[in-house]
Amino acid sequence: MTLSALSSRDSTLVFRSLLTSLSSPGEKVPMPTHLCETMPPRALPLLALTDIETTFCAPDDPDLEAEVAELTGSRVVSVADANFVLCSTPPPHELVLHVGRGTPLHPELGCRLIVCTESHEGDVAMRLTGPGTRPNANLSVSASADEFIAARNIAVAHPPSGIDCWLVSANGVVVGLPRTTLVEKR
Amino acid sequence: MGYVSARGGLDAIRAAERLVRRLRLTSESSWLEEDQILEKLRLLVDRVMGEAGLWAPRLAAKALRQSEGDATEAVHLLRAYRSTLPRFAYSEPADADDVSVERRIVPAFQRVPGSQLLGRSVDYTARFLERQSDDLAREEAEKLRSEASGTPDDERSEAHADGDTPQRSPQRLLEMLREMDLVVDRRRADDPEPFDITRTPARPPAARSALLSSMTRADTGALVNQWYRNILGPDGYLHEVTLGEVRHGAIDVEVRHPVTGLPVCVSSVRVTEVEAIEDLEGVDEDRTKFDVGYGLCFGHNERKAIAMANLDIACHRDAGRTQLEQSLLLTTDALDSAGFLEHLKLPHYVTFRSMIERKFAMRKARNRDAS
Amino acid sequence: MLLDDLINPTQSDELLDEFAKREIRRAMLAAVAIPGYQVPFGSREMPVARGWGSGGLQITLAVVHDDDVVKVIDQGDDDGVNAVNLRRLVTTSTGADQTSVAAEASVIQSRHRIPEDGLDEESILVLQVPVPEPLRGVERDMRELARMHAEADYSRMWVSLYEDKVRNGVITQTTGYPCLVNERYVVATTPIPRWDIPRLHESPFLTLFGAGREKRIYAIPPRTKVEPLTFDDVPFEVEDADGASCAMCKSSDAFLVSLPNSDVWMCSDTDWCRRTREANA
Repeated sequence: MTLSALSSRDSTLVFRSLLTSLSSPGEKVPMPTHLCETMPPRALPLLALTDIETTFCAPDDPDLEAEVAELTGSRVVSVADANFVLCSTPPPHELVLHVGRGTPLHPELGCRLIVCTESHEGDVAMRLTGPGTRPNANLSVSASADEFIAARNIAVAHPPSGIDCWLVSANGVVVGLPRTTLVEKR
Repeated sequence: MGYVSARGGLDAIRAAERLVRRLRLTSESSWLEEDQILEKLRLLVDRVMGEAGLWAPRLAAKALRQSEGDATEAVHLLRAYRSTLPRFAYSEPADADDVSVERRIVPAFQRVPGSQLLGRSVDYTARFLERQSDDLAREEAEKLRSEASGTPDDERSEAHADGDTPQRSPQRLLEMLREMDLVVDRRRADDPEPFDITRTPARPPAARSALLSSMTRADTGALVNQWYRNILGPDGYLHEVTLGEVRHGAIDVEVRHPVTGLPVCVSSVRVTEVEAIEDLEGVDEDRTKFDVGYGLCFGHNERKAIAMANLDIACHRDAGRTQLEQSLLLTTDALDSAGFLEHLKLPHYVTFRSMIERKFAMRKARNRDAS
Repeated sequence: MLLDDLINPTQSDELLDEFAKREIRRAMLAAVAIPGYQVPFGSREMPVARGWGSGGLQITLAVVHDDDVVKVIDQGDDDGVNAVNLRRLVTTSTGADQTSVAAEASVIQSRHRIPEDGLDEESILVLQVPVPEPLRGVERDMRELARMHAEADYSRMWVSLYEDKVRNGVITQTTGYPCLVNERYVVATTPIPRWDIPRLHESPFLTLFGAGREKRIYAIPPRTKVEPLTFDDVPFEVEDADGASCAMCKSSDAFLVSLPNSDVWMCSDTDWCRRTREANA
């Protein structure tokens, strides 16, 4: 795997995709194609958002973790302490329930969880409601991602604390699930 | 059109910029050299660096020249410049005991360990406005230069109160008071990361490091005023402390080399440091002991460091009972207060229109109730 | 090598370093994820003074790239001196294009107004905020303010509105009317006039609020509930111009400002006024 640092412009473009995805939960937002063709798309949020003042970890992806740390200066810490956690497959309940959720006084300290999925097509259909969602917003996920969503729903059950998630597909399409989005099986 | 004063566009802005620049650059007097500002207006340079939170004497001199002596404007220029620079590293912790003092006084005792060192100070200089002609002053300068022949230490020993050779890192009075068991010991065993006020806004309740950083970067006048309003103003929860240390000196700043991992000195900065001894007299305090407040700021600025040390201990003793902490954290920054004050010059006709509308709505409601 | 990429020393027009932009972006993402919550951020000093749009400017600089088209207004006016100055800084440092037409803009930075029309799903509205704390009128202590927001305890705000109504016959809040976002956080709506408030509710666009001096960023995502605080039997009132219309474009369905002590009214949104005149002609 060869990652490279993002230019100023590319960082802005990736950020804009992420901003759109959190503003319109459930919407399939492509990240910049020229970057997705040269790097694993799941690394892009970290490369665009982290720096020496942030912490992160990628517990099931040590090579990528080391590369991101070197390129951004972001510090690798434990899952519970990380500002950003990257999982290359939908993580188990245990991990999701372990990441930081912030506090009522500081909900912004909740973790951003980046989760890779093969694609945004699956057998389990979900309905999304909440700020930013379009009428009839929906999401279909694989069975393993379904498990992850169930754990995520527990982690966001006590607002304003909670976690914010991005599902990143192998081809670089991102779906945002901020903590305010209610995700229910249809 | 009623809004000509609020409009005018790019041409007007450029014209104003040109006017400021042209009048600054083409004034009749000779060019103001950076060295002149650094040497002749050194205390102003120090103050600007302190309020900017940036040790950069040459840049501060440039900023003062560009701002035509407006200290707050110079602070703004420096901080806005710093916003364009990425942060690469954190400095290693520096021990204030390593400050090599150029001046050190201890008002609390007549004779102290490490001795008094009056140094360069106008404290006891009669404040007569020197009205001699410039020619005479230049003559005197030439004479002094030829006499001095590079022994500034002479003056240091002259100013040295008790005649011994001055120590550059004298023992602190605080250590002596600790040996006498006269000070509440607030040293902590852990070593928390200092709060970074440039990255996280400090709001009460805040770590002591947040309070100290806020004050060290605060507007000098604002800190002096905060101190004085708590002496004579309506709040009145501060009494005069006894100063245990007033120091001015230089200290090295080190960062770890990215390759070797070893600390390397990247700069030497001058600081003013003050320790303020407070008499404890509260019902819940240990009346048999003293407590100590701490002040430290860039450059030679004793007024600021003394106010800071007083307010540090006052804030600790206040323990959140009043809003002293909030005042110190939130209202003492030069750019925050000056910027917001001056924004009143911006057009406000949308908000004012809405205010007038409510005045009429209130009248209408009043008339309706009356009839 | 990486540091070189990030510093980008050739770009002397940069007003913010890359790390600062990243920090502001992280705060914005948190703000969108927690609608109405005031996210603290390490507000940087800008070439404009605090109180002059430094928060809005930092947001805009962290959002905009060279494919964007920006519109900047002050009081609704594209040619207000401060708007011109901010637009100049944004376009020269980002390479973005500029426009006065809201519908053509991808990012709109504004002080005190929302443009009358033209904002859609593709728009991002950046509002400059002087005072982000909506509860400061009822509480000065920041520790208590933080608790009130954390617990959604807005009872004193309601009491103050009630007292206001009883004393004055109307709710006297003028601009920056407090609103409840997503049924959770009360926000200060910059000081935009009450006229603009209904357009924040279930809006198609994202609104980002930047308070540089107070170091807070908050957001109202698109399609989000925004309710002005009022009582069921006291309808929320926008500014009433008593049926007046703009002396220039004849609009009566826009926010109008008047000349002192006269019956002459004009649109505060100057570009709307221009387009309406052109359409009338």
